Parts: sequence; structure tokens; C-alpha cells
Amino acid sequence: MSTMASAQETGTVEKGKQPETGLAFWEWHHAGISIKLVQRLPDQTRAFFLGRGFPRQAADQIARSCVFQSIFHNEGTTPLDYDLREWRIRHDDHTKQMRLQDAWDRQWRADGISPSARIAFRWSLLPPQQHFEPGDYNWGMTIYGLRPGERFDLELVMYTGGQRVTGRIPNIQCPMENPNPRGSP
Amino acid sequence: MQHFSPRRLPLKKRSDKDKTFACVPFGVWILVLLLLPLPLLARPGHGLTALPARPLAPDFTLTDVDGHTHHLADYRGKVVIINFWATWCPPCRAEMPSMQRAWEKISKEGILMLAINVGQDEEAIFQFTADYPVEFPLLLDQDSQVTGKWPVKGLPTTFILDPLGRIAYRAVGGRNWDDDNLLAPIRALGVHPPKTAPKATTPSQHTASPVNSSQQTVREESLNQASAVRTPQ
Repeated sequence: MSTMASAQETGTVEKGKQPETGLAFWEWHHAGISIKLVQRLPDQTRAFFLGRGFPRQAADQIARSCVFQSIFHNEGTTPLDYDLREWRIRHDDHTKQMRLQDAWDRQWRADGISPSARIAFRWSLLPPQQHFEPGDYNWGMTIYGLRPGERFDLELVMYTGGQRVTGRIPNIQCPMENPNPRGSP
Repeated sequence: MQHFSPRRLPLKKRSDKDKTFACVPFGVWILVLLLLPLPLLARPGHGLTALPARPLAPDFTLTDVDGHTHHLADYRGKVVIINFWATWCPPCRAEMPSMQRAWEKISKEGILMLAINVGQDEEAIFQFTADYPVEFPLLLDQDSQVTGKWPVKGLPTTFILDPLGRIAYRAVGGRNWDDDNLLAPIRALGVHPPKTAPKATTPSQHTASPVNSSQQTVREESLNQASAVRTPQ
């Protein structure tokens, strides 16, 4: 486990592995706020969405789109708001936004995905906007639209205590298709 | 399944551990990943957020897994805890045992607890209750139409209704519901029920704007002095 401090953005980033699974995580902290991104193996994600009623092709698409379990805590002293539309993915000198619920839902409707599967998908994702009072938290998947094993930086934006707070989680690695559970991230 | 966890294996030389891992089929690893780690990551939140405006809770009629129909308006006069959840949601699973323990405390006091499952069918919930037995009603909102009328953005989210059917408190994320400090303000709602008629307002959806949250009018209430309660700033 290592700790990295960013010179330009607020907060610190901790990188490590889940002791139970060996899956890599990256966790950003600032003033009691934290967001932890834990790799989800493509097979893990594929099984989850097949179990929710997605057809194989759609489940494969999600599974291979760089999915992280994302755990957002507000243990600070002031309310926190975020909007994922403000977050940016930096990859190979390009910048893009995360693909969010509405865009996915349009695709699922066009593909004829069942309503129950679409509902499960919607509630599985980290909410695109959220308000946290101190003590609140949420879980959900975030999907970055990159290939297994690719690396990227994530630029975070949130608002707390009347201030805009930005942070960066550098060099996050998308989960590999068939990793060694003990392999290094 | 804990015996598959590397951390629980007895200490051995690396080569022995490698053999142990090699014996575990990849599919078993996936099963472990699906079931084991997520509840272990579930660090509960704390406290309740008071909603000073006390918006009237959206009414609903839903059937529970035992086939009983629940019409929210019928529960006026009671304090009601309403939890939105799903079986695949790790923090929802993590808080369920504490909800059952809370239910064992508060059901005798006339406080009602309803857990509304979002988007799943009876079979999924039936399987879930084999591992997480609970006695409070588990309601089905398979098309999530009811959930969509409540200010729910992520699961789990829980609301506490006062005896007038108004939303008094909210908790985003799981909680240790059997904590008496958390239950104190909930119990107090029943001890000192408000006497004014409910306003015909609906709970506003949260916005990501910090301006909106700070513009909420704050009404000091004696209940909010309890340590488990905070008022939106």
C-alpha cells in the first residue's frame, strides 16, 4: 500500500489491494471525504449482469468497459455534493467524460433490454448526482469506457462547505480479463 | 467460503501457497469475489438528517413477499421507517441484520418498518431471506415506479416518517439500525407526535447544487438536539 500526494489537486491518494481478493483499489481522501475505486473483474461484472437478466452480448460490453466498485463516504463536517458530469477521464492525452445512466439507458432501450434488467443496471451505478450530509455514503459501479488493463487518471470535482474541491487519482488501471488474484495492479 | 480467503490460510512458504491458489478453479474465485468482499467493505454511515420542512411522504400501495398489501396512508398515526434496498446491493445486505435487531426492539413500541425492494421479484428476495432472515415486511416495487416518486438516488436510502405521514429524517447509505442512539430520535417522534396538519408538499429531489442545499430553511426542533440527528446546512 502506498500513499501519494498530488501537488496540484487537493487530497491524498492511497493505492493498495483488497486483502480478501487481491483486487487493486485507489482511494482519494480529503477532509473526511473519501472515494474508493475497487477493480471489478470482467467476469465478476459479467456474472452480475447476466444474473440481472442482461443478454450475453450486453453483459460482455459492460464487463469489458473498465468497471470499478465505487464507495463514496462523507465523514467530514459539512454537506457534500457531486455531479459526475463534471468528472474527467484522462487517457492517452485525451480527456473524456464518464458514460452515465441516461446514455446507457438509451442504448439498453434501443437494444431491447428488459425493463427489469434496465432497472437493476440503473440502481447498480453510482448515482450521477448526489447530496451527502455528514455520515452519509453510497456505493455503485462507475464505468470508464476503456479496455481491460488500460490506465487513466480520474479528475474529481465536488462541492463541500461552499467550496469547489478538485482532486486527481493518477494511473488507475482497468481490471484485467483474467488476472492472477495475487498479481500487482 | 472463508477458507478460500488467502488471509485465512495458515502461514506457509510461498510455493505452498501457490499450490493452494492453483487448486482453486477460476470460477470459484469469481464466486468469492461476488459474495465475499463487498459486505466486508461496507463501513456503515452514521446519524440521521432531519428534514425541517417535513414534506409529506409520497403515498403508495405495494404488496409484500407474503402477499399482504400495504397502503402507506393506512399507517398514519404511526412512526414508519421506510428503507429502499436490493439484494445485490452490498451495504443493503450489510445493514439488514441490524434492521432485524432494531425491529425486535421497536415493533413492540408501535414503530413500523417497511423495506421496499427495488426492481426484483419474489424469487430473488426469497433466496435472500434464506441467508438474511427478517421479520419486518419486504415490499416489492418491481417496476420501481414507487421508488421513482421518492427522493432516492442510491441504495440503500432510508426515511423516517412521523405519525402525520411526513418525512422527518433521512439516511443515505447503511446504518447500524439497532444502535439506541440512532433509534432515540425515531422513538421520540412517537412520543411527541406533531399536532399540526401535514402540508401538501412533496419531497424535493436532491440536487447536486450546494447552493440549493444551503438555501433550505432550518427550523430548530428539540428533537434535533439528539446526537444522532443533524440538520441540513
